[in-house]
Parts: sequence; C-alpha cells; structure tokens
Amino acid sequence: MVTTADQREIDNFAALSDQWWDMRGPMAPLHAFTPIRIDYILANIERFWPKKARPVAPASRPLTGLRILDIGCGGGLLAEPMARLGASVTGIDVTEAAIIAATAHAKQADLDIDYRCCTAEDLASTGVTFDVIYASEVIEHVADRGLFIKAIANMLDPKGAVIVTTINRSLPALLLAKFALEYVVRLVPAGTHDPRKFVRPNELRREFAAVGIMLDDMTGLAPRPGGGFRQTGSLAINYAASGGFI
Amino acid sequence: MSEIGIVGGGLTGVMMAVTLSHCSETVTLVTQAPPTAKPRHDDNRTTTIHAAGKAMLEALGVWSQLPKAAIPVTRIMVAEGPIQTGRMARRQQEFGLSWQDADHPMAYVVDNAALLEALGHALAKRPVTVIQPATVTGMELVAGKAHLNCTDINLPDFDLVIACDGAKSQLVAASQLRKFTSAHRQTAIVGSLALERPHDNTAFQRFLPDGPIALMPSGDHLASLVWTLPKQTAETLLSADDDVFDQACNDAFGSHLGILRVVGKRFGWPLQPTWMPKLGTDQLLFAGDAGHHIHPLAGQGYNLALADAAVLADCIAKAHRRGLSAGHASVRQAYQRGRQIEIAAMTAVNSGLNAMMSYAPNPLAKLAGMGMTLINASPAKNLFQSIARGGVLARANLLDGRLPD
Repeated sequence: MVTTADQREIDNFAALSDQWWDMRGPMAPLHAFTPIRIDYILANIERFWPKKARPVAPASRPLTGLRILDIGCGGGLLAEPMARLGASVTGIDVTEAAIIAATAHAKQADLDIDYRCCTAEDLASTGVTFDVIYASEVIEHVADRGLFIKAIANMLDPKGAVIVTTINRSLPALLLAKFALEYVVRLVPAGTHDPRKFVRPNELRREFAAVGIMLDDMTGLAPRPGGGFRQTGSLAINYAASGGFI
Repeated sequence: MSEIGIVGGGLTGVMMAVTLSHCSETVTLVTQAPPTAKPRHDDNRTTTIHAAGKAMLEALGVWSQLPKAAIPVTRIMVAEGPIQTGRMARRQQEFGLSWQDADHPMAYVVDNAALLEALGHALAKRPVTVIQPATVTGMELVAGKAHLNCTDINLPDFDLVIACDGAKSQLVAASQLRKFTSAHRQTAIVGSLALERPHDNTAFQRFLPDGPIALMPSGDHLASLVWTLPKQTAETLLSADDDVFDQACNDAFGSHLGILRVVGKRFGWPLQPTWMPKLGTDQLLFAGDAGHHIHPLAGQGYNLALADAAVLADCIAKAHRRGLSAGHASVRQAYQRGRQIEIAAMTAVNSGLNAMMSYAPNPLAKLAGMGMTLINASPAKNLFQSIARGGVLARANLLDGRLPD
C-alpha cells in the first residue's frame, strides 16, 4: 500500500504523546516555537483571506468562517489557537496516541476541533476542501512527499492558502537539528529527525509547483537569545513557506 | 480568553486587576481583606507616580476617581553632603543639582488612602471577581492549570496567576526561585512634615553619610518624608518624642523650607532591597514588591509596579491575538524581557546611590558629588529627566496612555 505515513516515525511520536502539553517536557521546544509559527500562519491567512473581506468575523474571533486543516496536528499545539480565534479546524495525525491526547486537551479547553487519525490522502479521498491548509514541522517526516503534496492540492480551495514550516537539508540544519538538539542538549528525543528527509527550499517550491501551487513567500525562522524565535532572511535552518494556486 | 488570578489586594494587586480586566473577561482578585478597606486614619503615607504612570491611571479611569487632587512635582532638587554652616553655606549653592519643568510635571504625589479609594472605585466598574478573605499559601500545576492552595476556600483554577502580595509574598517564597536580598542594615522613617515655607512643588533629596533624606511635596505646606538611616539610629528616632525627632530632622535637612515639624504617625520601613533574576515560573508571575523591592529613596517603587502591569497587559493581549492563553510560556518570556532592564537598572541605581552616598569613603563620595555636577551640566540631565518621567526603560501602550489592544 502506498502511503505518506512512515511507521518508524509514527512509533517515535507515539512515545511522546502523553507529554504533548507538558510545557516543560520533551515538547517544550515545540511550544517555544509556537508563537512565531502562529504569527506566520496568521499573516498568510490575512494575505489570502483579508479580514476586510470577512466582515462577519468578530474582533476576538477573527478567523470565524474559515475552514482550516492542520496536517500532522500532534497534540493540537497550533490547532487549539486557530480554533480559539474562531476558525473551524480539522486536525489530522497518523499517530493515534497524539489524536487521543489532542482530543482530550481540546475538551478540557472547551474547544470544538474535528480530530481524526488518518493520512492526508485518506482525508483527500473523502472530497473535503479547506480555505487554509498548513503542515507545520511535518513534511520532513512523511514517507512519500509527492503523494502528500498532491493530497494537499486536492483539498485546497481554489482561493486557499497553503502554509508549510520545515527544516532545510543543509549542513547548519543538520548540525543544529540532528546533533545539537537530539544528542547534545537533548531538547528533542534522539531519532526524531531523519536528515535524509529534510527539504531544500527549492525542492519544496518545485514539488508544489508541480501540482499548480506557487510558494511565493519563504521566511527563515531563527531562535532569539533569551527565548522564542524571530523571522529572518536566511532559510539555512528552519523556514516557513506559503502560497496558493497560480 | 484566559482565566487570570491575581493574589494581593493592595495598591499593586487592585491596580493589576483593573489593568488586566482590559485583556480578559475572567479576572479574579484574591485578597486577605476587602481591597477597599480603609487604612488607619493616621497612616498618611504617600506614593509617587511618574508622568507615564499618571497617563496609565488616567487611561484606566483611576485618576479621575482620586478623592483628593494629586500634588504635581515640577522640580527636583538634590544636595550632596550635610548642611553647611558659616561662610561655606553662603558660598556654596545648597542644592547643587536641580531639574525644573513647570509645564510638564515629572511626577505626582498621592496619599495612599486616596489612591486605594480611587482604585476601588475603578475596580467596582470592571468585570473582576473579588474573592476574600482568602489566604494563599502556594500554587501547584494541575492538568495545565494553576491551582492556588488556600486555607479558607476552594478557588477556581487559572491559566495564569500574578503574585502581587508584596515583599513577603508567600507565592514567591513557595516558588523557591533565586532571590537576592540585602541584609537589613537600614530603616527608612516615613511620615508627614509640616513646612514653614512653601515647597513650590519641589521634591528634595539630600544625601547624607547616614543615608539620604527625601521630602516629597504632599499638600499645602506639607511634605512626605522618606529618611534612610542605620537601623539603630532609626529605631531610636522612631521611639523619640516629636520634639527630639523634629530637631534631628531639621538638623539633617537644613533650613531651606524653614522649620520642619512632624505631623501624625511615623513609620519604620525596614530596607531590604531584593532582586530576582526570574520574574516568574510556569504560569506564575511576580509583580510589584513581590518581584522587586527597591530602595525607596527616589520614590520609584510603585512606578515599577505600574510598568509591570502595563507591560504584562500588552504581553497577554498579544498572546490572545495569537489564540494562545495567558499561561503560555511565551507570555512569561515576553514579560521577563519587557521588565528585566528597567528593574535591574532601578535596583542598581537606587541601591548604588544609597551605598555610594552613605557608606563610601570620602574620595568616592566626592566622586559622586562630581558626577552630580556633571549630570547638572550635560545632556545626561535630559536623559535622567526623561527616565524620571517613566515610560523610557519600559515600553507599553498603557504607559503612553493607551489601553492594550
């Protein structure tokens, strides 16, 4: 069976699932990485779906009326903020334990999120579409990237936005993400990343162009001394990309 | 969007509750006593609020509720060394350093009782739940929420708790975070002085070998005294007769304002400046004296508390714009980043000035005196003046008079 899910990757994340929302636990770096990912996602939602054009959205819930798909939602670190801002969010993940953790946490936070344990192509086969699709720190874990990107294209509204954050296949990225984070400071569990699956910005651009999606914005994301991240011009390590159908 | 709990019903806690009620619909104030309880009638302590703090209290609707007008400070005069007598006194200008700006007061002096009353009125108009009497002894995280341990009642759980319970905060102690505390060597005597001559809206500061004596204008021919002294000397003077105290006070301050006479009660305020490298831990933040207790010589303590609230309001508003709760670690990091510079600077400057002017051997004190002359003559004076106005070392919407957006 052809699938985008990689069983060894799924096992890695299953081991982490009960710790998704422990801010001090193994997911702490991902929590620290969350504000800047939200900023990038919100800025690009605004680019494709400007607030002015959606007057029904109340100020405190500016994403009201938007259908958002979170691919590889994990424990719901990004899905929950999006739901809180008013979007109707679907979160999918191939790790069942993550979906269980995410569902439990959303219930606790009193948020209505449609979580499903399935692959992107499973969901695409149902024929649903979304105004915004994002895959944050996911594409470097999938087994068949071409299939994955095709599934995104199949589910994206003609006017919709796709947003990806991932890690470059570069020497600095390899050093930081693989050895520094996993082995030296042990911020993330060893085995989290397989550097052969890291994606260069140009490859990503080309692969999305093949399905008719132009990634017309790419921004580097770099840690800031004293905590948190900032946007940078350098795509050498972590970067975000966004775009829509040409 | 977030459930916020504030512990402490003093000037800082009530102000924090009023401020954060503009960021969240669910703010709970947990206090030991009713927040509007009247202080003792003979407690005539005052608080100095800089220009940025006044702009903030105006935006929050507190300033207009003051039952008694605040006294503007339009001039600051500083003298170094004891009063001179004889020929020296005539040759030297007594207060070597002075700032003046009659059009834009740099600070205001308000009675604590009046400020608390105004805060109480503002609080009553905001959607804040007040829970009292409740004594909070500690906090623990339960399923991602902050649970306050309370001896009296069961409290709801919060996304974020702000400890505003003063220098002896139980929550700070329970957090076991590193806290640097100076030894108690000095005590400040605070009280009210009747002045023979008008103060002309001037704040006076005289650095003496024993510690600085400061007079803040607090009414018609009335000034608030903050006199820093070695512990023993302060204790002796606190228990002395009014006549003895008046004499000592006049000897220390000099005759610039004529004869000084103490009115009402004197208080001893043990000086133990504290500084914490971290202003909070998971889902718990410290504000006001709970997080930083500075030397009172420049009257900046409450201004730091105001800036704490103003900066935190912006941090929480930003988290909410991102769809994150106030308990997210990024709020604590942004608060820490927004506050650490001003707090460290104020702690260092106030303790440093006090130490340099009080205990230093003569040459160092001379050097400090020379520094003062330099400040007086250079553009540094403008910088010092704008820092004294507030809103320079800490940036926040409220310090510019705007509600958080």
